Amino acid sequence: MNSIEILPVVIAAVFCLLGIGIYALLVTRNLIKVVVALQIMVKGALLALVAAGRLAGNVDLGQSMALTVIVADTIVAVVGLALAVQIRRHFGTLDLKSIATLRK
Amino acid sequence: MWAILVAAGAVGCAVIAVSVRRLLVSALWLAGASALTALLLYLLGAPEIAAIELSVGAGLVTVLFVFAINIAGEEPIEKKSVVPRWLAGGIILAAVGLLAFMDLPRLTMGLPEMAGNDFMLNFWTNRRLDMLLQLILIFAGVMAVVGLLSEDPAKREHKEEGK
Amino acid sequence: MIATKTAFTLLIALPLVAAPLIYLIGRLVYRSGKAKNNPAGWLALIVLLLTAGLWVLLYLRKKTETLVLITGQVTMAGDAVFLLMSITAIALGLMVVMFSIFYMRAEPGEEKFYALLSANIGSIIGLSATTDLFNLWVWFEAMAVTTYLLVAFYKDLPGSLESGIKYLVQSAAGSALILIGIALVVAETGTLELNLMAEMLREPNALLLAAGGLFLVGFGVKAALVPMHTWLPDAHSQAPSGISMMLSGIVIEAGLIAMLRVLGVFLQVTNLFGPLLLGFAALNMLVGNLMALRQTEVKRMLAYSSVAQVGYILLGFGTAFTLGVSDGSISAFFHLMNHALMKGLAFMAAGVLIYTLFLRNGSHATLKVTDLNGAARKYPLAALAFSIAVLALGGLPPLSGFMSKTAVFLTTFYTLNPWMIALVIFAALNAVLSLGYYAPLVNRMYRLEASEAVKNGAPMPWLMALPLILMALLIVVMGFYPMLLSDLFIPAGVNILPYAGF
Repeated sequence: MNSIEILPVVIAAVFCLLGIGIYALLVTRNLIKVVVALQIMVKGALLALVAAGRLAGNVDLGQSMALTVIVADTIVAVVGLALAVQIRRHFGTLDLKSIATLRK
Repeated sequence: MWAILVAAGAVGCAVIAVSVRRLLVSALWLAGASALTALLLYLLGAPEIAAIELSVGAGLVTVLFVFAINIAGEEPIEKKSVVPRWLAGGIILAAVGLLAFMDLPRLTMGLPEMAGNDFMLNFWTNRRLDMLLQLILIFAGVMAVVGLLSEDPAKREHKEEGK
Repeated sequence: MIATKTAFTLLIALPLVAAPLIYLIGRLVYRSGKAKNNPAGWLALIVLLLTAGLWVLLYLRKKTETLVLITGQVTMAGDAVFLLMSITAIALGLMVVMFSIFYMRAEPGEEKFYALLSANIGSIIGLSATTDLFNLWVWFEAMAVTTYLLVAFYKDLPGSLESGIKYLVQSAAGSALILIGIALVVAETGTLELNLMAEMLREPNALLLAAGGLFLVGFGVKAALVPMHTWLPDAHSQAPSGISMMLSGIVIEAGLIAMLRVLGVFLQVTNLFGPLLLGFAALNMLVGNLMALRQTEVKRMLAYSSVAQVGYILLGFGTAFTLGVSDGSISAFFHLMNHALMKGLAFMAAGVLIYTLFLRNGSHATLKVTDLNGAARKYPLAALAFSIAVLALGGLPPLSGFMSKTAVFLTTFYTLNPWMIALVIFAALNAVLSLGYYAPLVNRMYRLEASEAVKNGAPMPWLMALPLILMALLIVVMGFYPMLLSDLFIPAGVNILPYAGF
């Protein structure tokens, strides 16, 4: 596989992952699956950053950015899961719709 | 050819991860998507970040998900979604399609040759500040988890009051 | 005397490095049982005072030297926007800490509150200084992550947890979109340095438009652009009052400034984003005001009013970005500073009432509009401060809010563009509409019989009076001397449009 053909494939994957992530964010009601959806969006972003670095002729730049992104989004996932666990403790459910008590 | 298979596999895993109902299964498919993303990163010429993504994204995050699901418990939630599915799907398809349409022509130019690379050197010298900021992120994340999950006996008393 | 560079480094690093120390010392001292109250709040106060001192030093040096700090590829530039945003964050933070020392007393995990608050202020300072696109994202993410726990601080209250998860999910989705935008820009230019990027971008293309759109949506979540604002009313009303002050007064504005810094680069390429900002301004004003009108909870009403106020700020920036008149951005920065003051004071006064009426009596009830009835008799200072704040927000002369709002309207009007004039008329009507919910609040406090909650209220702690008086005085004084802080907002307004080429 030479590198000239890989780029369209990666870009297609980026947009697919992004789309799947946002779609799942909109339709999912389970809090833990919402975090799964966020993770999928970030996978797309990771691929995009490295591909962009590669395209700009500086793959290390892309890798450096991706490393920070991995750390940052792992932390966001951890905090999100902690919130989900705490919500489950207090509401007895993970269903987004049934915890919605705040008025519009 | 490999890249197409791997990319299709990653997207497929992602689709299954968001559509299965059992949380544990969903987390495992996410790990699969993560591992295939890592492989795609490797094929892109980024072996270092591929290794990190494999260990953190597919490893650590999956462990965390399994932990959280263990504590929170499986919970089948009826499939009816907040936003109508056709509406969500239509919007996403339109938005992402537009985005892809705007970008593809420019992005499908050839790739430049890879320069001799030293990822860690680049990271530690050029992006030092990002690295230092990761410490802040980790600190804030630890604070948040400790703050949210700590059980404080004194606090239990006025739980759910006045709501 | 310390070198300018050291002082600049310290200004950025001090609140961040202090955060874990505040946590550790607060935790150890409190656990050991030697101190009756947790010292974390006082530590945070000292740290912020030191930071403010460093800021003054830098402000004086700035007249003769340029502030630049280079680490690797990343340049931190202490420009006028940085000076304005950082002092707004530090000053508001000081008020928040002073107010919270009593408000948060006896909450479990008090030291986490102050540690994260300090880290949050540090990340806002860093965010306003960096000129590296990816580094900007990292600061932006740090700003978000430090507020997640603060929003969901009452981890045993359902509403607080619900607003926390909403805030986290929307912020995280927004920052993933920003990342894609960054990737597109890097693919096009190969650089992350905003100044360099501005020089490289000369001709418009679809890729950059897509990137700009992604930045608009991604940063727009944090800046509460309608319709990405849905996290805001929940988070602002459920967080501890000190955090409502921070979120409303500086965090959403920091998101906005981050967005404008990035979009400023694109001005070379396209003039599409200015009108888009104006469109969001109109939407924000309308939706914010209409929703605020029908709220019955005080903090929720103030939160929706923030949505509307972001609209006024955007009106100024949008004018600047559309027609290249720096007067627009100058008046927008003026209103931004004023908004931090006014909304900070409004949330603080509401917080004082929450503390005296409910928290002191061990309840976490929300403050309803009807609870304000007759508050002026028992809490004259809090009621006066609240009235000054909301009347200034409503744009009543001669308070500072009137001055800045008028400045925004006038600069937009004097472009003499028919569309702009129509927009100003629309904004003015909105300002009148906003009095429809601000004025009754004042009326309730002064004219009605005392409510049940007010009758049972506890006395106000002395330390809360200080920030109330300070901020109320500043609002009144800025009404009479609107140019008091002009050394800050005029250079900043010119500074935000560096690449516009107008």
